[in-house]
Amino acid sequence: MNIEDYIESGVVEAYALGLLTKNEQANFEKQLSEIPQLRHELKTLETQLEYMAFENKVQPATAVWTEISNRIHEMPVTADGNNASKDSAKNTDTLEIYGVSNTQIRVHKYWRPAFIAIFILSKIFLALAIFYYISYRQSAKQMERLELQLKAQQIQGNVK
Amino acid sequence: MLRGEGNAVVAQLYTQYGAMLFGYILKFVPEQKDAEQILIMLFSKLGHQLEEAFTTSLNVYCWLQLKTRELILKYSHINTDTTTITECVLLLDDAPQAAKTAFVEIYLQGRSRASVAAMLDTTEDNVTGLLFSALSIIRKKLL
Repeated sequence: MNIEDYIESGVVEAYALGLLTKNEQANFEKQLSEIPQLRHELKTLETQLEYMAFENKVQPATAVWTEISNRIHEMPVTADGNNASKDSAKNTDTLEIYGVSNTQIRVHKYWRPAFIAIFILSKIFLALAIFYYISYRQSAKQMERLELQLKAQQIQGNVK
Repeated sequence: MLRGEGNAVVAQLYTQYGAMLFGYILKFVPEQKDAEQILIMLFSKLGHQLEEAFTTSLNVYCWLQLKTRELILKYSHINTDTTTITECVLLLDDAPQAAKTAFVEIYLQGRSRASVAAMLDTTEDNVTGLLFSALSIIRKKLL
């Protein structure tokens, strides 16, 4: 194989842009370890791609890093100390698909039981409040009746 | 790698490459919010991919760009007819239409060569030839 022709074919660009098939990629990586000129071409292209990206950079909003940081800290730690297993990453994917192109709010998973507990407690307090209000109204009416009876008795005593 | 160290590396990579990758994503996904979600996905999962990032034959930036493209193709709908245009496609302005189509369909839309061959009613080998002729043009323009 003529190395010049191989390089001129655009194989280095295909590798850097992720456009090679698995076989072509394995072959390229094998050549890469053996041919210094290929490594040099790849380094040159990497520098060019990085420069192009630098020229077109756009600063994301501060909230983006805040969200990334929150997600990193939410991820469970694996035995080797890394943030998350590949399985948990897959589970996260499922949530994230909905994150793109819609307006759903993403909340921490522990908020759900907290919201349910707060909801139940609020219902209990509401029921107690209604119960005590009705009891208070009944007591007030009873007091009113007793006062009226007492006044009637006093009037009757005065008349006698 | 300890968790804290991994997070510090991710933070460092975000500081260094976040804006560059965001600019790259915006070339594919013009909707700002969708582009932000792709960037969030990339960096929030990076912690368990750091070993791969630092051992690949590519440099870290190019590896991150590859991963970004994978995420874009997985989670976003690319519309090549309107605003989607990348630097590489710009370099193909005067390329033969068939080569440009093959490159755009494979690079921007993530189609397989077989799928593009079916679309263009040709053989996979022919599509491979068209793809590499487009890459060869890009190479010459970059030199």
